[in-house]
Amino acid sequence: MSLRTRLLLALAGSGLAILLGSYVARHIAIRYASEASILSSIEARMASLDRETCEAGRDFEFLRLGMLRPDSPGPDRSGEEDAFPPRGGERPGDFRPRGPGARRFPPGELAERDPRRGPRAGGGPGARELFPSRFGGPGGPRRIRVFFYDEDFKPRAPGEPSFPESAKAALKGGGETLVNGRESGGFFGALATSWTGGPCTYALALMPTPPPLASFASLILGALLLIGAPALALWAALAQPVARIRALAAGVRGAAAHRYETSVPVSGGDEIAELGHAFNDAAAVVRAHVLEVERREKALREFVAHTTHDVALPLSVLLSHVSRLRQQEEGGASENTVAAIAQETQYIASLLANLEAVARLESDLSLHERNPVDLVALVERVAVRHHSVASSTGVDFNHSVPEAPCWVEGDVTLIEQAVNNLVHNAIQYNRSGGHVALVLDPTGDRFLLRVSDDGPGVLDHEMARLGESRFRSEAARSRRPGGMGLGLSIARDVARRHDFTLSLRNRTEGGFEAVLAGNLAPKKTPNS
Amino acid sequence: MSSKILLIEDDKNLGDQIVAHLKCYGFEVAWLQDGLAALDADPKEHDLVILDLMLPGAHGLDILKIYRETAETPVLVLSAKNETDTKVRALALGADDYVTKPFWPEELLARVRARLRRPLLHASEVIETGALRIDLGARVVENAGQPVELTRIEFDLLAALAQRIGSAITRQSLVDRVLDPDREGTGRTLDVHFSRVRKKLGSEGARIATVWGVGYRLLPL
Repeated sequence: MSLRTRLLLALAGSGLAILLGSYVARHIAIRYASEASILSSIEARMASLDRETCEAGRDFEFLRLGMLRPDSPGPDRSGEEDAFPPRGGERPGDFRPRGPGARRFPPGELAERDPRRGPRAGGGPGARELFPSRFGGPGGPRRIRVFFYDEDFKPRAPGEPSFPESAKAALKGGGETLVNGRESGGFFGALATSWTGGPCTYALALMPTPPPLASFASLILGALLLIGAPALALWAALAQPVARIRALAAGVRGAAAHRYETSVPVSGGDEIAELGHAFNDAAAVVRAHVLEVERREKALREFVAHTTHDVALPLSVLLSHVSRLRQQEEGGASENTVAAIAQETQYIASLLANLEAVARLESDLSLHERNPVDLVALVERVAVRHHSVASSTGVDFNHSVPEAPCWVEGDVTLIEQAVNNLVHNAIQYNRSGGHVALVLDPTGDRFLLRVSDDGPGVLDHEMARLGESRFRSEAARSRRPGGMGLGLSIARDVARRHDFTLSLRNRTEGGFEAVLAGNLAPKKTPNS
Repeated sequence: MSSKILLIEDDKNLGDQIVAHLKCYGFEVAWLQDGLAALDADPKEHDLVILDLMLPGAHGLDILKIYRETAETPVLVLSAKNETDTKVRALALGADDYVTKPFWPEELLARVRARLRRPLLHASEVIETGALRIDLGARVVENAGQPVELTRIEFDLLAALAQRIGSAITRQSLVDRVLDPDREGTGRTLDVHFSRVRKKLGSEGARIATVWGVGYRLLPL
């Protein structure tokens, strides 16, 4: 999930919570405010009225409280008190409504109420529902109306609403002179006046519930505005930082692709820029490490190259001496000794070439140098190199190549070393009187290079070890590790890098066979 | 007439050995130990040049470049650097072959011989080897002047070996080239055919050798 989506979701969630919370808060506030104002108004009404006026029905039919605005239902609005205009003979200072629990009545009036009045059936003829629409039912204007009832809870005038049952019970039970409650459609406040026995024994104030906050459509619109506007603002505000973070990420990837040689472009002075600077610092450290490792590797490679160069020259001279000695001792008493010397010298020469190949393979994980290589010429070179050693050890070594050149794409030094190692192994691990054959066989667009022998072969449990593709240090040190050692590992690695396959198996007729196979180059090129 | 070889090698010991070895096999060798001296030499006076690359005075590849401006003399590069780019550059500059140090003198000798006898393949219609005379055009074989009766397959098998005397030819290539795959194209029939050819050629038949793991070869004299 993207950063912006995450923030927008959080905003939407909190916006919805605020909407819901304010809705509930409004509801509660309206309830408390309504209860408070209804009690206040009924108390105020009583304070401003005398019995005669009331019983004669000359009082106001209702008091207008005015519309309550849906978003400002304060319980102690100062305007509320003003909504009860004082009349002649009133004592305004006697009455100050102060919320739902405030009960201050003019002394001697409400207190005269007879507490011994028994229960009477209420709701005489003409009684109506509490909140008829003509009195401003639910959703109508919020006016508080006050009605009067006699001891039997009959309304003072026909057509007026009936007295709520819950209030009847509370007032008749005695003790309570003032109750309030809620019926379907609105709030009420009821009062037992001190004017018992007349049509003004009980007073009832009604206030319909406020209209719903708004229509569903406007609620949705409100929600959209409340959430959508900040969301848009947030989206716009985040556009630039998000773009910069993305640019920074792209820069980091680019730097990694260039082995941290380039630094990430950093602009601005905020946290994102700080992150960019921090990355550049880290990249500089990584780069320094890489350079150091490369410097060491290069030094090691050069050391190996110089060493092999230095050793190659005297080794050539030594091989020449050995060759001459072999010719002189042919059939002589020291023939076997000379043959052994020849074999060991050949081994050293082969090891030298392998060490150089390992140095190259280890330092160069991909294959950079690909040139046309003629496998025919390559096989001829390998064959010539091994003929003399094979004959001195009594191994019959033969090779066969086609007449026409066989071109492949690759690194001639590495392929030659790989083939060299396969042949060297076949001769090295054979016995006197054994045979080794090196055959290059092109078929179609493929070539098969087969090195087979009739030696002892490889034990089954050793066959698995031959499959190990990486060089093993003990293999490099071990002259005859029950198998092929370093040379075969190099052959495997070279084959892999050229997309050749190297398959190894014990021949059914005895001996061992290694087959290097791959694609010929599509076009014959006259080089190499 | 012996071939004349120009050896350019600065190492005294190795040069001594190479000169001795080549002379032993009948070559005439001129030896230069300095790069500048090599630049003044005329390659056209020699049949083949053996050129070391790391030389005092001038680099082997520069010498090769200058030689190639005037002469087509085969050049065999001696390289101690077993590096692909050096070999590829040498070949691109016109070197004919290379030998990497360390090397057996036999290896060098084989490369030298291979370069000197380059027009080796018998393009001619008639191959004469030992007592055998094989007329490829007329499809006639004579042994010591006497005609030898060979079937079509037997003649083709002998011709295939004779065209590359000394080289081992794989069974598969002989089968592909000579036998009809629908009727007699198996390795077993190949052996039967060769045993008949051997018999028909008498003492010369012994020159047809079975090569282990490969196939057959007509031994050179």
